Formats: sequence, structure tokens, C-alpha cells
Amino acid sequence: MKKLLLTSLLCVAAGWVMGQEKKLSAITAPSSPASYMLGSQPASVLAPKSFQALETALFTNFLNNEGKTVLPNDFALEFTPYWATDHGRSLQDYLSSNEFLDQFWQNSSFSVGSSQNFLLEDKTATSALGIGYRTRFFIGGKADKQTVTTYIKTLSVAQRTLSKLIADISPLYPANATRDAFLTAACLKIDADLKNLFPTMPADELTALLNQITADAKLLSTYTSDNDKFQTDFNNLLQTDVFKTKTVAKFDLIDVADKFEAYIKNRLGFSLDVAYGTFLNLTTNKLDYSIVPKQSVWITPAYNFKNGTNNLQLLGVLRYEWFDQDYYHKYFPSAKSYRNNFDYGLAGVADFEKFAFQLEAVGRYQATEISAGTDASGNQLYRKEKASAFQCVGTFSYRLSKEIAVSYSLGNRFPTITAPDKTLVSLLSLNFGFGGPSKPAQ
Amino acid sequence: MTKTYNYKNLSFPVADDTEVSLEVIYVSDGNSSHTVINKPGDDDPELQDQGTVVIGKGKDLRAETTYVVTVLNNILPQEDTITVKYKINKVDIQTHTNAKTDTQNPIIILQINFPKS
Repeated sequence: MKKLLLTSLLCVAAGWVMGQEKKLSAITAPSSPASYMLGSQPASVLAPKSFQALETALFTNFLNNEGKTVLPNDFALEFTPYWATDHGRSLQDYLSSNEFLDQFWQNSSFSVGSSQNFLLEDKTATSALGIGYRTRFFIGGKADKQTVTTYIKTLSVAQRTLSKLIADISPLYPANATRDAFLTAACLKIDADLKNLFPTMPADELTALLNQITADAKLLSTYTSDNDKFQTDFNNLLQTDVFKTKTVAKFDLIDVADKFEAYIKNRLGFSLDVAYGTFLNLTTNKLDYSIVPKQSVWITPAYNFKNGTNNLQLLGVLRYEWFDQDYYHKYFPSAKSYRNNFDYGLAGVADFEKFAFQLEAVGRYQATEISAGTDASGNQLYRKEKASAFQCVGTFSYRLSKEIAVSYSLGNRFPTITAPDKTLVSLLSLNFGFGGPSKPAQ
Repeated sequence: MTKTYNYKNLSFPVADDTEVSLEVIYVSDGNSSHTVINKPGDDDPELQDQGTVVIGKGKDLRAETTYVVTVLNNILPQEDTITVKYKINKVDIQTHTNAKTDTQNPIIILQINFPKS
């Protein structure tokens, strides 16, 4: 292997690249398989939340003023049938469901994309319609169950604390004509409720809280016994002050809800994403003639787990694509095309407090049959052509501060057409980001 | 942040000896909540998530307004609207709905009086 040295680069990047950088993203299942198949990046993706909205979106975009079917330009739609109707399932019920069929249906989404500017090699603009499907399965382990249970319990305490306080304070508004009278009565209720809900709360902490609430409430809008604005503001104030105290802080309603929400987007356990996409190319720009040039299937297993407070992730990717060679020979004559293309990859990410490791390997196998003339009887003969390639890159990243990280990548990449024997990757980068580090994306 | 939704002047006529029960029904998916019912007298009933809870007999609920307070969170990414229905003795008394773009942490307050039927 001869080497290419990609000298050190200084990169300015918005967002963290440590640990979260998904180098396999080029071959992982896309969020919208239909748009991916068209190679388009639509300005917006319609996501109708009801069957009526879906119907409206389709009729508005696929029918012109004369009632004739047309393919809209730069169109993308993603529809998840399960979420188009209400089921009244609680969060706990939803998170504890491990039924295979339930998950299959809940996560099934269909995507449609279309373009009037799908360019052939000779720059002819043609119409194209992409169709895609994806779903996801998740199996949570013991750690996931424990985490979900802890969040549910903590959220429940937070909800109970606030609902109890507000339920006891609400009748005091009509019963008290002045702000001082209301605050005196409210503080008595808050004192009694918190002593009951948190018996271990120190007396001085409780006294300081009541003083704080009284002081803050005096800054609120004009008090009248039927002033909705004051009541809303007082509820917010109560929430802010109560959840700020040392004893109750770990039950801060919004903080717990935000953390829980972040967790359910990236749960500990095994997940499997399955996706399929294809597209129709209307090379004559008429609806009565179309070709299916390419189809793709993705299978993406991932396993998220924890070692202490460290986040670890293993990610696998399998992508199989098959192509209509007659189409590519006709419309992309100078492009080298294969009948089948198989990409596979594996990545491991370890995200620690100050640094992160990532190791990823991606392989590619391509096969095709090439015409090799005819035999004596005039039968068409073919020869098989195969190609394979492999790349492997390791990255170490160190956080200099919350927003700045330095990363070093070392490995070998796919050979390129222009320099097939130069495959070494050696890349030093300095990354400036905004916001705190996030967990590795699943 | 939370947002308070106040539903005032609700009324449910009921006979003296009729037992009154309140039902909280999730219509949208992914809700998580706690409801406290501040009724006249002590021992306020509470309800985690959805279900039915007995408040008391009609004659015991007339002295003061009953306050039903639900603190709710909906953190399910797939859901974009929060809808909760309240029923008293299987009769609709109030339906609350709000877009999650308004808040995904609503505080719902029902003020209900129970006059004699």
C-alpha cells in the first residue's frame, strides 16, 4: 500500500464531531429512502399526521388545475400510518411494549419523493418518482428497563409535587382579595404540602423557600382574585423556586422531562433499522413510460450500552443495491456501473467525559456481467467482473473545553480513481462547536 | 416550560346520594401525568396517568368548588398534539387539547361545581 499523506487540517465545524461523527452515514439507512434514491435534498419534508392531511398533500401536489396527474418538483413526503390516529396509550405503556408486531407497525413509515429535474448524463432533465419504506425494532435490556423505571418514578414525584401544590393553592385566589392575604395563605399551604411530601426537608431550607416565593410574587403582575395572568405567573414562579431547592432539585419537572426525552431518542439496548428504496425514472417525461433503474435495501443493527457513566455504541451497516444495467448503459454511458453492489460496515464508539474513540471499517463488493460477444450459434456471452475495496479509520478525540475538541484520525481509505495507490488517512482537526457534547447518535 | 390551562365555571348537577367519579382519559399517545382533586374536606383523591377515581357523594361536594389539577408531560417525539378528556360519571365534562409547539408540559385546571340535580 503506497501512501497518501493528508496533512493536518484546521477545521472549523459547527457541532461536535467527537464520537458523534457518523462516518458510516454514507451507507446507513437514510431517514427518507425516497429522497435518497432521487439523490435530492428537498427544502422541506411534508409529514402529514392524519389520513385527511395525507390525502390533501397528495391531491394538492400530484394533481394540476385540470385534474391531471403530474409529478411535482422537489417534493418529499414521509407518512407513518400508526401515528395518524390516536390510541390513548400512556408513555409507560408505549415504552414497555416489546411486541414485535407492535414495533413493526408503530415504526413503519413510507416516503415519497419526486423531481422534475433528475439529470441524465447528457444533462437532459427528466421526471423521477422515489418510493421508500423503513421500520425499526428495539430490544431493551435490563439497563434500559431500570433507566425507564427511574425516569418514570422521578417524573411522577415531580408531577405529584406540582399538582398537589397547585391544587391546594388554586382555591386561595377567589378567597383572598389582596396579594398579601393570598401569599400568607399560600405559604401556609406550601409549607404543609412540602413537609408532607418531603419529610426530610430541613426547616431552614423550607423557610428560605417561602421567603423567596413571597419576594418573587411581589414582583408579579397586578393581583386580583380572578386574574388569570397572575395565577399562571405564580404557578411558574412556584415551580421555579420549589424545584430549585436542594431537597427537591432532583425532581425538577422540566429538567427530568428533558433528560427523559433525550434518553428515549437514544435508548440503551439493541435496535435494528430496516429500509428499502427504489425510484421510477420517466425518461420521456410521460407517465406511461418509466424504468426502475435502482433498488436498495439497508439493514442497520446498533447496540448502545453503558459502562459506568460512559456511553458505548456498536453499529453495523449492510446495504445491498441492484441496478438495471441496460438503463445505465443507455442513459449514463460513460459511468462505470455494476449489477450488484454490497456495502458493509462496522463501527465502535466509546464516549468518555473528556475523550472519545471511534473505530470504523467499511467494505464494498461489486459484481456485474459484461457482454463478451456471441458464440458460434449466436447466443450472447457474458463475463463476470468483480471488485472489492476496504477502508478502516480510527479516530481519537479530546475535548479541550466544552466547545473545542481536537481529533486525530488514522487509517486507510478506499482507493480513488485518480490515485488508487494512495490510501493512507492521517488527519488532525480542531473543531469548534456550539452547545454541549451529546450522546452518540443511534 | 409549563403552561397553565384554566377551565372555570364547569358544572355537573348531581343528586345527594349519587356517588361521583372522575375519569381521566388519554386521547393522544405518550402522555404521562398526575392528577390531584381538591374537593371539599380532606383526603384529596389522586390519580397517576389515566383511570377513574371516586370523589365522593353529591351532597359532600356542594360546599366549595372542586379543583381538578393535572400536571402532564408528553415527551414522545412522534406525537404533536396533547389531548386529554375528562368525564364525570361517564359524561364528558371537558376535553383539553394543545399543540406541543405551545407546550409539552401543560398544567390543566378544572373548576367544577356540583349543584343539586
